[in-house]
Amino acid sequence: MNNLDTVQQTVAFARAAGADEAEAYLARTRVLTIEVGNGEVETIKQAEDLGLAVRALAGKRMGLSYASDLDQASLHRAAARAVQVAEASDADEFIGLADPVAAPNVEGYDPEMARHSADEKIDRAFAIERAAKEYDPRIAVTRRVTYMERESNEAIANSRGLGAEQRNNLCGGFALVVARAAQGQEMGSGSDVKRRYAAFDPQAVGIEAAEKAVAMLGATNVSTQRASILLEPKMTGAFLGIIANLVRADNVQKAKSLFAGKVGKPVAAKGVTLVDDGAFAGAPGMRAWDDEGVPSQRTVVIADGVLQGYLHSTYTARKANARSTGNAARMSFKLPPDAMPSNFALRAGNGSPDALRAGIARGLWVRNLMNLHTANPISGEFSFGANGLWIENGKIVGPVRGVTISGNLTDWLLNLRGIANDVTWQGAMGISVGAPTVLIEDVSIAGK
Amino acid sequence: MSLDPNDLVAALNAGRAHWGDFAEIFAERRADTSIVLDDGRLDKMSAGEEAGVGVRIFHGRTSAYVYTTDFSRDAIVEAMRLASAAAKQRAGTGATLVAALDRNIAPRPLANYRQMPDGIPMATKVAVVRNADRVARAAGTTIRQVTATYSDYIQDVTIVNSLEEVAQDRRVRTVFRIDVVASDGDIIQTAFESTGGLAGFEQVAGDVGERLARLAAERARRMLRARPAPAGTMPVVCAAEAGGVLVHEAMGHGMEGDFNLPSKPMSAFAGKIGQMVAHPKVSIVDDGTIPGLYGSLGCDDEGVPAQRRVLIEDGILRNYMHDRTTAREMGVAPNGSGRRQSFRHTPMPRMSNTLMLAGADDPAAIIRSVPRGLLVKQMGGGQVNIVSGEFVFKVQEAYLIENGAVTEPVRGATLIGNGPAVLKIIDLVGNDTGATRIGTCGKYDQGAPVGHGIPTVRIPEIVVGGIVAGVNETIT
Ligand SMILES: [Zn+2]
Repeated sequence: MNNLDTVQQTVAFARAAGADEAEAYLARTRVLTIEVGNGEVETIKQAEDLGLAVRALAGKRMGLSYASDLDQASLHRAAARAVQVAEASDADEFIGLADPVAAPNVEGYDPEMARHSADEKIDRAFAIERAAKEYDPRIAVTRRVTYMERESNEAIANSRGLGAEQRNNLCGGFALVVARAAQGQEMGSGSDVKRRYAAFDPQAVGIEAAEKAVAMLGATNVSTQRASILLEPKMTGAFLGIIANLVRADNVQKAKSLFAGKVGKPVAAKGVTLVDDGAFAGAPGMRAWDDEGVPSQRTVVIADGVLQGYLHSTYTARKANARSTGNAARMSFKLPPDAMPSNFALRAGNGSPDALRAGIARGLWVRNLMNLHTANPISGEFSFGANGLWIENGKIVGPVRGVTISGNLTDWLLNLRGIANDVTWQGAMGISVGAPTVLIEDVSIAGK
Repeated sequence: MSLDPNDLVAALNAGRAHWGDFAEIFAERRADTSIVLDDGRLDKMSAGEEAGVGVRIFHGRTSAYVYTTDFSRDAIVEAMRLASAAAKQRAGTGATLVAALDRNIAPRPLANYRQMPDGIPMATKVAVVRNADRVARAAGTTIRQVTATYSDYIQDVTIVNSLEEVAQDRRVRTVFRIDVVASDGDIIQTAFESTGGLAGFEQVAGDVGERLARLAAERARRMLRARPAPAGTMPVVCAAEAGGVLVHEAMGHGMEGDFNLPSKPMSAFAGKIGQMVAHPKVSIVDDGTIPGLYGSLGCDDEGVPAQRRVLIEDGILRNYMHDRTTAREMGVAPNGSGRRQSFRHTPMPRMSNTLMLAGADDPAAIIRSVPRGLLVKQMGGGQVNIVSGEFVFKVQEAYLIENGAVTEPVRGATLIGNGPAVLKIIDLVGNDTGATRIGTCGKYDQGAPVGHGIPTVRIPEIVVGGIVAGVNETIT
């Protein structure tokens, strides 16, 4: 049975089990991970994984269950379980499933990835390691040097007549390296994800990791002060991933967002434009439809500093009397979807990152942040460990670590004083951010 | 879908041609229930079951891992064939690095679960979150939002390998967490409490949820009155109820075997077994055998019985935490640290319950010893850079210490320091036993349930990250 038949049949099973409405979602995932170290293959991981989720409505109550194999008994069991869970849940008039709408044509699958041999992919992993080691003789250890590919085949159907399939793949690499010198040892990491086989550059990943580690050798601390921070694109992206929580409609509706009630109001510095676009060509999260089968679309969240709207799933849209923006995402097939960003990007500015740096009187060029998961998107407060390069009068003075940068996300957006033109995408399928180098002034830096 | 060791041994034997130097089958079945009450209603509910098999084959030092959700003998043999071919394709030159069990260590009995979650009606589980929600909201009008989460799972694993070792374990974990948002109109503050254990429904039965809801609500309200934490270097006292994120981040990760391999030394603790790495008052263990604790297990995910590992004894580094491969490279027996998130993942050295042992100092005297500093009453999430030793963790609840007395609450503090350096300067260790708090430890792409705890300790000097006063103070 093909994937679409399987989900349609599961919807029928749920209806037969007593569901008033039902949805089934199936993801078959093929993964390949090649990890190398010291010129030898350490681990090759490959698998064909699958997960099927059923959501059943009993009146206005919803429940989810799932299965990890597709035999008829498992599908029946998951369908019946979803109905039972729904019956134990609370009613909510806004609960519902997506209506069938044609999705955009998205080139999410690159057939090249399947055409190249495993041997060639092993060489890609070795190329990452070699590039790191050749970058500098002080690169002493490499770890988790990995080339990976992931292909997903998804199908969804619901009792409102929706039925859709899509195929996406991506490839990428990762490296962790240690640079060692008389002053001590430092770690650097490099990573990249691409939607086309030919677009991935293993050397760039190795060099990124090595450069970051070597640049930190001899790091010292600075005194506690307020100063500027320049965030490299991946660090800006990390902030965007947190800020995305403020524009998730579910958080807004639950009074968990500082952006609640602020549509039409300035929430960021002029020049700040944030866009979510699920179909953005080449972005890591590019897909035709979201995890409820709603077509991907382009949603302007902030235009020139002014809040335009929020990111919706089917549920939050019905509650807000709006339309889903195609932002439903499942963290795993075992959990119900939430309103989440797809490809979330800060629009590039005009100048180069070097030009931004040249204008800094005193500040930290942040190249790594720690404890990102502890940001509090509800209060907006954050305090991260940071390291990077200290800048005075536009010039690099030397590496700094052991400091924290602290503040509030809302001030972060309002104090954005410079946006460079070097937008870089990062992330994996489902959550991806595109971000340039940015300058923020007057940030709390705690040190010695 | 059988986890029967006999069936798995038969499958392993049927694939003998593909064994290479070491072959292992890890089979798992897991049933989960998850209930989220948010914004006053049951927001997300799910329940289901999944199962899968992971096959690992070594050729020399090179391993391949193939997993499948198909339990048939044919599928397992095919996974072995694929793994063997993949591992052989570019196998390394060195000898295989997989250690056998230490036969002197007996398998541990399966844990005793008093109230298996699959025997508890959904309505009883729902009542836990509903009651907690009600109690938290009743704490005052400043409580603006409450999220109560209940989850449980039953995970059965069977591990068989070509060394003719067979192991089985059943891990049942039950977790409750409550998140509270308080606001007085200007300031928003959040607080949470959680409990979890290698335990059935008994972990949350009775008024556990309500008690934690009250604690979280009170803390969120208290933090509304708190000023931003000071920034800069100062002495810090961590209270015994604060939890052990400090030992987990600053010390534990650096003592995981894979960061200390002679071929790939990364941690500041590499090569230092037998050396003084901490103040003589400091002793740290990682113990997976304590009944009921969240990080405990019967055996690890390579079939090695859970153990109590002394990491630091009176300041001296004694052991690392090993899986089978790191143990073999370092010429020691595996000590029960090879954990994996699921059948989709390969094992690596992980912590279980990481605890600093009680010392001899009077906790009250420790606080009195600080002229001006910070008292940490509850820690939050943390992270460590293994290579530089730099660690950071968030503080959920903190107070100023002024002239030896605890004064006002402060919010938003973060501690940042160097693990090996902090270990050496911790100079007062309380004679109290710390509460064990729970967490999900993230390492690379895998999460693992862990516990951690410390007695009251004094760190004479550490950087507190907070808000730096300035002319443009806009933090509200
Ligand atoms: Zn951890």
